[in-house]
Amino acid sequence: MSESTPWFLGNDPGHVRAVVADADRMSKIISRARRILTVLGPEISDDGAMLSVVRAIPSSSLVASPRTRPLMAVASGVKPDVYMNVLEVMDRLRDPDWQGFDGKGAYDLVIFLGMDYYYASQMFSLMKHFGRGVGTVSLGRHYQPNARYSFSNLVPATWHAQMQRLAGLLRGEE
Amino acid sequence: MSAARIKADEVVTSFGRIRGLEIKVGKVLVEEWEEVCGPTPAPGPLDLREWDRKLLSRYRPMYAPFCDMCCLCTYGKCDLSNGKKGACGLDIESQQGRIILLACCIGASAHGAHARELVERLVEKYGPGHPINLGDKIQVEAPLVRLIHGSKPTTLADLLPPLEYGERQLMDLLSATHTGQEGSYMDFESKSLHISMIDHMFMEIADLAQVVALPYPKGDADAPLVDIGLGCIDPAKPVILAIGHSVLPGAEVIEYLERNGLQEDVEVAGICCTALDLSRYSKATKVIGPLSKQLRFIRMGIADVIIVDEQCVRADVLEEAKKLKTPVIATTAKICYGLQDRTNDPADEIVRDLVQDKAPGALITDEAKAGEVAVRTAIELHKKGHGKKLDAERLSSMAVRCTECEACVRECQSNLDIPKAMARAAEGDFSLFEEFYERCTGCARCESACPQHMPIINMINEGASGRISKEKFKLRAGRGPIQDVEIRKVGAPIVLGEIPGVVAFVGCPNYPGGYKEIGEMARIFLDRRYIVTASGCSAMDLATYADEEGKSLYERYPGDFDGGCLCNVGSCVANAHISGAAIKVASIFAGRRLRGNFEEIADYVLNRVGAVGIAWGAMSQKAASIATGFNRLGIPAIVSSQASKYRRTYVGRQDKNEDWWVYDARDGSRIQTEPAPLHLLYVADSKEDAIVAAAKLCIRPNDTSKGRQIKLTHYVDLHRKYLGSMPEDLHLFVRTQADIPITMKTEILQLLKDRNWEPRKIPDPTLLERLVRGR
Repeated sequence: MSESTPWFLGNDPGHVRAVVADADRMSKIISRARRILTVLGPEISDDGAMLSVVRAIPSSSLVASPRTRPLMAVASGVKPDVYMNVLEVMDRLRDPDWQGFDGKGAYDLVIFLGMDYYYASQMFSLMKHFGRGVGTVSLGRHYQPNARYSFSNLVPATWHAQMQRLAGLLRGEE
Repeated sequence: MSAARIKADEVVTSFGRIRGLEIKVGKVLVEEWEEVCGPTPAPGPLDLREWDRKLLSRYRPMYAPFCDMCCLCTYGKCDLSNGKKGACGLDIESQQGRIILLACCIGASAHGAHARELVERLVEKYGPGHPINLGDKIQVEAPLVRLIHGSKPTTLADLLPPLEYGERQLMDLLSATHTGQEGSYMDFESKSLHISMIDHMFMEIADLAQVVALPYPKGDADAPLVDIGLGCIDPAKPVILAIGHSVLPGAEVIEYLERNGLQEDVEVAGICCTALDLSRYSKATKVIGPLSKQLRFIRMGIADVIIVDEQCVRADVLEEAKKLKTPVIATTAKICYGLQDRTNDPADEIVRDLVQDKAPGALITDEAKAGEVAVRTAIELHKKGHGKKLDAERLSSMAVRCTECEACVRECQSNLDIPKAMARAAEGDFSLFEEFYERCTGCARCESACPQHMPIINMINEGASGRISKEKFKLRAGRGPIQDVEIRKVGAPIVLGEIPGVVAFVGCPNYPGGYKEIGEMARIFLDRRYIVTASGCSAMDLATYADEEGKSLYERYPGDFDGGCLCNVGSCVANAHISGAAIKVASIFAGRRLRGNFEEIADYVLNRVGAVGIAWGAMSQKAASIATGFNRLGIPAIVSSQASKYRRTYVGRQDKNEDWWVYDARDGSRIQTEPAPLHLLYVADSKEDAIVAAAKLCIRPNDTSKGRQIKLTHYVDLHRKYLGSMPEDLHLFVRTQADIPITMKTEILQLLKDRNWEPRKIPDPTLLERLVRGR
């Protein structure tokens, strides 16, 4: 199977699919963005790799699923600006008049982490078609065809290593 | 009066001579119902469009397409990505609206066809004049038929005109999905709302017909407790398994058993809504559970005969049954499985062929004959013995073949680590498979994908064999409609907010986190004295949630429609009694006219009746139309993340003040109000999110201060407990200081001060200017 085969094989939306990116490319994409919204889904865990990447992303706004609040309370260096259901976040992102959670203007990149595969896929699809051109990045372990950039399908150890490298690159370490 | 024809070659009258006169009268309706009719009896697709636009401007449809393509005509495939249109001119947004309409039409057609079959068969058996009599406690017998069609049925035959009206609507609306018809997503949505409203009427007709004709509970809160669970079947007896949604074939099995004195000798078990309805028909019925249990039970090899009727039956039941030499009897034109039609053959011949394995099954559309054949075949085959299930030793030896390719995991929506469990099973340890038991939805896509053809469902059965044998719970049989007297009792507390809300657990068993989640949710609301109702697969799964003493929720909580009670209305079609209850609150408690008056009643429910549905495992097209029908009536629904695959939500924006206004019916002033209910169709991130959202979605603009205090107490308390904080939007729901829960006053006052909160007027709310008094 190619590296851009959806993790769930039936989840093939058509020919417009995510570009497969590794940690190095992800780092460049994220570094190029001007205003980043990072969305932490309900499946976010205290996995060191996940949270170290979240800390390293230069997010303009960090929004987390309300369910993650107890975890966020003990995760040092990770302080969401807003707790909000993912669907409600998407509803704002499709609004051309929305000026972001900080009121400073629209975001140009949305990063998803810690979401159930199917749910994330649907939300990426929503952004792909109705997100007004805002870029999307999936940092999950499996290839998400509806995102603009995604990891390929990775085994846990490789994904973990990629996340650690991404965190390092975003922190300016080589 | 039925059809009449008058014909005269020549008639001489005072105003002239008429030749060749012919007058035909199709049907004369005798009008005995004095209620003044509202503006929309038997509405067409355009008659409630303005109401839909009001809803859709506040709850904007949001689409998450499954697929970028349209594959519905030979112009295509058309790629609709990057803003492109298809050959017919549709863009991706309208295409999604079209798919939603199609889903709602499919859902409504399933209930409509079910209703048609039930009404016709019951008219045939009990006569067209069989009365619609639900007893003294229920006078508003058919709130949806009254509200939508504008008629008041008094006999079974009176259910035919509203059915015909609904069928006509279905045809019109389905036609709008054809290539080159509707082009606006908003109008596709309006049409979806329309057919889904009709769907609720179809469901009411179906359930009303069976409730009045068959010996079902008729709104009885103390309907009998019946057995449910895979472990409640006695495998020493012949077992007949009925799967689907129609009571008719299974009822004939029971009648045949009773006529022949065999009721103690044969087990009649059911899966899905057929089981629920058979348990209403006879409390001796054993309910296996929801549709997710189909393969599990078939693979257990306990059933001697399987009868299928319609809806939610796996397409591979015959293929699966063949492996165990279990005959399948198909009983409707909707599911034939390629079986030979034996309806006109003598029962003796069919039984002989099935017992001797000359045929894998038979199509028998005469339910009485199907019942007889099922019983006789089951008894014979049970004596003779047929296929055996795979044992642990064999399964363990098969598990060795697993190559850990993960093809199974890539098909599993619950993301179960099947290869790991397989490695353990190869060593004879099925404990990991036991852990999957609650989270597996029984779809078997994993098996279908496995290059080694592993029987993964059997392995889960094997792992869970100990608990399966103990899986015996109590389910309260579906009671049917809510009594008028119950509505009189709870109407005021609901509308004023003193009963914090009505939470309905509806829909299918495609749960993201396992079936226990709905039990946990239901118990929370029961203990907080919400009215909790249940239907369909959710009603069955709620029974399998046991408390610390091992009692099911149905044993622990009474079956009334009242605070702190768990009211199982029945099968899928009994969902109509939940929407019907909301309508009855407007009618019986508030005295609003029902007849042909949908918009006013929906406006009432939206602004005053704090009800919400939780369709945690919604999967089917029927669930789509059921939820959308609730939405048109002003009742929000919460679904799980799996149901984001329905592709459309109706979400509100509480940061857009301009969306949240009502007319004050007292003086016509247009005033700002709270965002309530905030959403009409909401995808909850998690069980915790759903719990808090349900409490919030029960808030209504009409709540009295006392009622609002109670609702906010629950909202704040649940938010703190399950999401770990004070709600950040609390200030939006406090209108005056009197709304603040007394025990939280100091804290909330500080919060209000921080938010620059100011008091505002409590309106007599409506979105309909024509309802402003004096206009």
